Amino acid sequence: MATVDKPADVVIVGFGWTGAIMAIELAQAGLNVLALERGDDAATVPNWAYPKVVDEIAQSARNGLLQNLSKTTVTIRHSKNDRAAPYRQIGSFKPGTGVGGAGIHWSGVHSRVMPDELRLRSRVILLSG
Amino acid sequence: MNSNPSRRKFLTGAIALTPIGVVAAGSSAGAPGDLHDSVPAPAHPALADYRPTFFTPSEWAFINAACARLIPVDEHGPGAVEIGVPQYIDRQMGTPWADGAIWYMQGPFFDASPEFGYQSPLTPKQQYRLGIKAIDGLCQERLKKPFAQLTPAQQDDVLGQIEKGSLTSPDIPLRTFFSSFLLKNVVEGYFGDPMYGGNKDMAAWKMIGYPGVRADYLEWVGEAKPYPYGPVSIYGERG
Repeated sequence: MATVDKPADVVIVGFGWTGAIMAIELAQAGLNVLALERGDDAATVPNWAYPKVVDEIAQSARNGLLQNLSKTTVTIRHSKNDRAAPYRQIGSFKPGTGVGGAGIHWSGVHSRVMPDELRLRSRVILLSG
Repeated sequence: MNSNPSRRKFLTGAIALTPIGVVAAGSSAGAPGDLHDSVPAPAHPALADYRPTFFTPSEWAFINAACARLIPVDEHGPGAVEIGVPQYIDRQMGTPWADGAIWYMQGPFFDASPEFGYQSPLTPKQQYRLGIKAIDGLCQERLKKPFAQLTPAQQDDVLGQIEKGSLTSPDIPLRTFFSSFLLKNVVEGYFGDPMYGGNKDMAAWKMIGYPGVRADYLEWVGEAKPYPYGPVSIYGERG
């Protein structure tokens, strides 16, 4: 059954770096903003934990961080009289997927481990092996 | 605002007969106790023991010969064959990518201009199977030998003509096979992480001075001198 949300002034499709910045600006201007995301939840850990996030074969050569086009894609044409061709492989247009991690698909980016986190880890290993 | 909180010269004639045993054995597991605990140790067999699982013996001879010409050993560094690139390509044939599983592979298939990207119904496996068959067929027809048994100069000429588009096949667009699959995969295997079967001992990374997957360079920011440490792999091997 359809869920009816309260009306919004602005709907932002995709709450990544671009959408999120737009959203906060609009919200601060007093508008009621609704942001839409799709896909499974993802988080820095475990989804993009070092070192797998810097695996260039999986993430860059095979586009592991981007939308799997076998499931759904777009068709592209230059004008309405052209025949639209399916976008079959990831090219210059790089749609992401999932909720969280929009900035991560720039392969080679990974979150820095803070000194406290390293100290905590060393401490835990020291105490409990 | 409403955001849901849930969010790279090898003896090409000989290799047709002995496609394996080209490099000394060597493999190592991830260093225990370092930051790689969450990743299982690599299970790839030593290169000397590698048997191709996808490529037939004649295809394997082609792959080895082509790798040896695309990235030959020279004064700068190792050749593609010496550091396992054929093994990398064969391993990739066992991944979902090789069956086109990460691409939109349903119809309609029709010729579109290049800016629309790949429009072929052929998967990577089919590209290799048909591409190698077509190239060996052309070599047999013109030079009376399969590609792997040609001289290095002849092989360079064949690959060069395919790359320029002057050597074509009615069965498959060879230029696409060359540029989008063969050459691309050779480069991937040569410079990719060693866990994928190529770049043995991170030799390609050492050649170009790439530090691999080291995590943090903060203390080197602003240093006007080369980074002093050797590469490290995803599984924590150090070069």
